[in-house]
Amino acid sequence: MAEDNWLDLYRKTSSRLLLFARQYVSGLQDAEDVLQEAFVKFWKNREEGLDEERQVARLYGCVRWVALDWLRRNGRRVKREDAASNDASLREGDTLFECPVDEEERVKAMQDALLQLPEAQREVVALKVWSGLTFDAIGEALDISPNTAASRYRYALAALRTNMNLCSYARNG
Amino acid sequence: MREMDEELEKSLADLKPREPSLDLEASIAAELRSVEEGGTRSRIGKIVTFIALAAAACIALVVMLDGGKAEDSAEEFIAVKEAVESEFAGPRLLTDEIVSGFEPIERITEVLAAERSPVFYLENGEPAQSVYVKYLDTIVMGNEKLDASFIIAQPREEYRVVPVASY
Repeated sequence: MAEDNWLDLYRKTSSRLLLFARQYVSGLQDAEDVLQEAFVKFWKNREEGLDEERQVARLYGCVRWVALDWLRRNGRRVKREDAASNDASLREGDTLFECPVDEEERVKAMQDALLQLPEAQREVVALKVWSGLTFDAIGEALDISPNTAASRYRYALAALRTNMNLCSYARNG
Repeated sequence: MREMDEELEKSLADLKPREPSLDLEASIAAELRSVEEGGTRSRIGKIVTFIALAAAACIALVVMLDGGKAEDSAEEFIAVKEAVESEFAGPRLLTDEIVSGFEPIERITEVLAAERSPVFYLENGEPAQSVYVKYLDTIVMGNEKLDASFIIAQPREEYRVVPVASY
């Protein structure tokens, strides 16, 4: 495939891939390293003839594997599983999303609520909401069944509502 | 509940994920380029290795056949001096075979070592000596189309039985 093709794919997906990588590796620089490694691996080993949705699902799957491998190499897997929300927390001032000044509070509240979800739910939400993947594609990316993906998503939405109410309550006293 | 979910989904979807740095795109481009070049280099390397191995196999075959002939031709009693001279004249060396479009364009033979055994007697009572000669055969193989060449260097050993009188 020509160089333009990887660039097209990269530009179309990079911000969402980065967000997905940051569900595992919270630091921006580390997540970019993961993304680079995953994208190059994916592109080197890509399978021709797959439809775009499956290609993209595999790309997300590749990001996930590289991120988990990165955590394992850095000895942070256990800690992350023990306290997923704490480990996923961001440094002060760092955000997962673009953050216009007038939206700062809302963005922060939603981000905090998202980061409190267990990893298994966060990754489904990231793939469904921001990447627009179907549950079939999410299942392929995460190596789970589409039904499991759908139920995790439902649980995640319910938990997000609760988390956002709690955050809102905490902020407003 | 469904409406609440939709509202929440819309609020979430309104959040715009942060863009990665521009450096990342450049880094990926550079890495993919180097992977591509590495792949090409690796393919060329495999071809050259294959050609070299094929050439080595041919050389080994020729040396084996040649060695066998030398041993079998004891009755010819060729003087080692003549043999060395004939090698320097550049006749039957290594291989004349064409290796995947490469042809020999230069040959050099060096004598690395020569030793004589003590005199012994053949069945017909004639005194003889065995002579050990070690050569280094070097061939430059070239391919005009590819404008490429490589060198094959192969040590070769010979044991010959020569009459004492002629030595």
